[in-house]
Amino acid sequence: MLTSIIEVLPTEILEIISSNLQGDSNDLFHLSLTCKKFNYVSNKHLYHQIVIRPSPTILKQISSHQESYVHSDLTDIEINDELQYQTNRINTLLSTLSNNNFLLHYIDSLYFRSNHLNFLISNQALNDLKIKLSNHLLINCPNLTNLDYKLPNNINLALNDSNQLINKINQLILNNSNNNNLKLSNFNANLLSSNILNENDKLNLLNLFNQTIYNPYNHNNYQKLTFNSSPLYIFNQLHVEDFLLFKNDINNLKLNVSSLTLNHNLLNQYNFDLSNSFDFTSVDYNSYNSYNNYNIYLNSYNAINNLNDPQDTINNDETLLLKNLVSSSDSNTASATNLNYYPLDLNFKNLNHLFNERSLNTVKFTFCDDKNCICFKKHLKDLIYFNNLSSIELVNLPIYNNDEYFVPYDHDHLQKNSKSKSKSKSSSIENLVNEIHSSKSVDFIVSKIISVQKNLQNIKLSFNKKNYKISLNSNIFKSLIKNNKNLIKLDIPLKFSMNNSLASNYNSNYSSSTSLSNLNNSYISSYLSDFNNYNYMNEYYSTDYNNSYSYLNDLSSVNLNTLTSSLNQNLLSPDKKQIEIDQKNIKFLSKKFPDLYYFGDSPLSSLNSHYIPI
Amino acid sequence: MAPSPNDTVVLLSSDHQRFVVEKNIINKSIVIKNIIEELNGAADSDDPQDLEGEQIEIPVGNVRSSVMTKIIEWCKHHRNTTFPDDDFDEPNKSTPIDDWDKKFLEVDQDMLYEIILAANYLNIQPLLDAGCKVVAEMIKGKGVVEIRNTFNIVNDFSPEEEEAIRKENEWAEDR
Repeated sequence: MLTSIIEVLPTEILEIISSNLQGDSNDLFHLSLTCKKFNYVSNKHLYHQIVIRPSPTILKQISSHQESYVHSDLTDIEINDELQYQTNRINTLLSTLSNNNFLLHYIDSLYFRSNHLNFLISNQALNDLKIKLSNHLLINCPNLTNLDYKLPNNINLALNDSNQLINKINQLILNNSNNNNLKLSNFNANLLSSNILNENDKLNLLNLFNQTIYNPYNHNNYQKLTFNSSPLYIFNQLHVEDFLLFKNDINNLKLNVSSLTLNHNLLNQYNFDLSNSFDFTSVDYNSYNSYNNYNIYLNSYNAINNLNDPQDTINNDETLLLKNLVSSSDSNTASATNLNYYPLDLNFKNLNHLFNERSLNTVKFTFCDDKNCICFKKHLKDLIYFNNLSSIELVNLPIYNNDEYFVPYDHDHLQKNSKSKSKSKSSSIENLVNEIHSSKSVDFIVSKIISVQKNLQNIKLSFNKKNYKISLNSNIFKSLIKNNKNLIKLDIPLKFSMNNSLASNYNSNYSSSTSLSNLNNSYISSYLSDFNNYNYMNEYYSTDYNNSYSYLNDLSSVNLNTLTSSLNQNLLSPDKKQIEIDQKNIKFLSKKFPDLYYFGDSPLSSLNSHYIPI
Repeated sequence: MAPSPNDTVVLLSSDHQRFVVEKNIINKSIVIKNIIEELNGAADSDDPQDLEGEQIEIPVGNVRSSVMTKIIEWCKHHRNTTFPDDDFDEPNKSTPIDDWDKKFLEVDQDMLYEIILAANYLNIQPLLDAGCKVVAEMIKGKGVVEIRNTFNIVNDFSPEEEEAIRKENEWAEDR
């Protein structure tokens, strides 16, 4: 029986046999399909053949390519055809051979050809390239020009793995230091607004671009770094001033921003000379100061957008803009003023991610005293999404004649939103939002906001109307205290009406609030067990002494033993070094609760100070 | 005039056949050439008396006598042929196979393989190239199945693997 060739001849000889087949890729292709051993040995020569000896015709065209400009062997059309052919072939190779190490041989050879050819590496081809191969390509092709990395419009179809994309871009940009003409098309709009990248990926990508721009080993070589689509995210992620530190080194950074109004506006405030492209060298570096203050930013942002229609502005751009700004700030405080002039959807839900990421936990919003404030309710509502705040300060909350201050605001849109989101996981929040929108009472909204917070230490609310007080029903109160064990400051003008329900001023939709006078003992007990912060109580009392008195008077009818133990227990909070109590309240307590002898270690009757050591 | 014993070497095949070959013929084998040079060098430097009058015997245990006969025949034919330097053999691969070599290598496949192996073992590069070219010629123009049948190759690909390779290399089929 005939001996099998692969059993008799060693690999080195099989390779020689394969090498003798160079010149006809078909033969090598067929041989590679016969068995694994021949596949291994023939692949090497398959790609070698493609590169070194493509075909007699191609070889001739390649070798005579330069001369062809002088000689008439090849017409211009033929040259273009050849270029197109090679480009297509490269792209095909890159996209189909990603797993084949022998592609390295092919890429090696590009070194020789890249003097002659402008390779237009397609997006798909690069997507399919492994890192090693991409690096090889970029390293070995110093003259690779017009490397046009273009993201497809539908990025979701093109990419299965965002990490893959990040890696590719990383290679392209960071490893491509020799490329003088790197073209990145379609980057931002498609990539960063797509759902394929999560927030972390997006930030990674932005950081990557930062590195690219900032990397002193790279940017010097960029004679022309072109972002064909809007560079909004890239640009905003960069600290503008940092970016300009390199302005002298980046000779021609072209940013085509015409399609992006927002970015245009942002740049405008820094006196950038905007056109379809602009040159950073023309920017007066001293003409602005750095911004790391959210407040400043929002003011500017409000000002430049005040002509926009608020109802068509819900998009990711603004959110990301804010997000980038916040993420670039060193502060853990976000504040905004003149919110009523802010015509856009701030989308606090998204900002909340940032707050969590950056441990931002303090929000201060100062509202403008303007009857035309159309966004007030909306912004107030959005505070629900900040679920990790330690401090909420809402200053100058607009209060007009009861029902007037809530101008109906994009009601249709909200209804649509609430319908579309009804199935989402955050339905409880959405329900709250819907409740708030159905309410006409600022009391109700505020109470809802603070009731969903879990880590509040400070709450401060003030209204544009003097003497305006809000009512918090007992459930909200309970929820507030229960949720926020560390609450140390509650600065809210409160209204008490003990003869009626605490929630007597509430919207009738919320009539489930219960009068304390009707509470049974067990309820009082549990209520007081949550009542673990004396400062809160102090605020509560001092806000309206008479009502407090009335409140406690009601309480006197309940089991005072329970009350005493609960008070003692909860006042002995180990976290508190001292508790500040109004003198009048001490007297009051002492008078009304003869069984309540001790606050901590001190007999109540002996207290002379406002401070009770614990 | 018959060559003197000093001008010849004895090659011992795997089946213990002795082949007396002129050194300048068998020098086409780099391996044999090096052995002769080493032995002569050792004789010059140590005791010139040792090898004087003795014929060098070189065992070539990997080569059967029938194959050795063919190798010697090839070497005799090309005793005056100058082959391109191995370091620059790239052009040699693209040159067509010599007509005499082609006829010389018109043997059954087992013999062909053995000649190739012997050429490889003895480091006779031109013969090795010629043998590989003959095999390559046998591959050219054949389809996958034909190649398998010709060389008795067992397909060790799974259908999925074969399809993957087809897909990966499909660009190579046509321009």
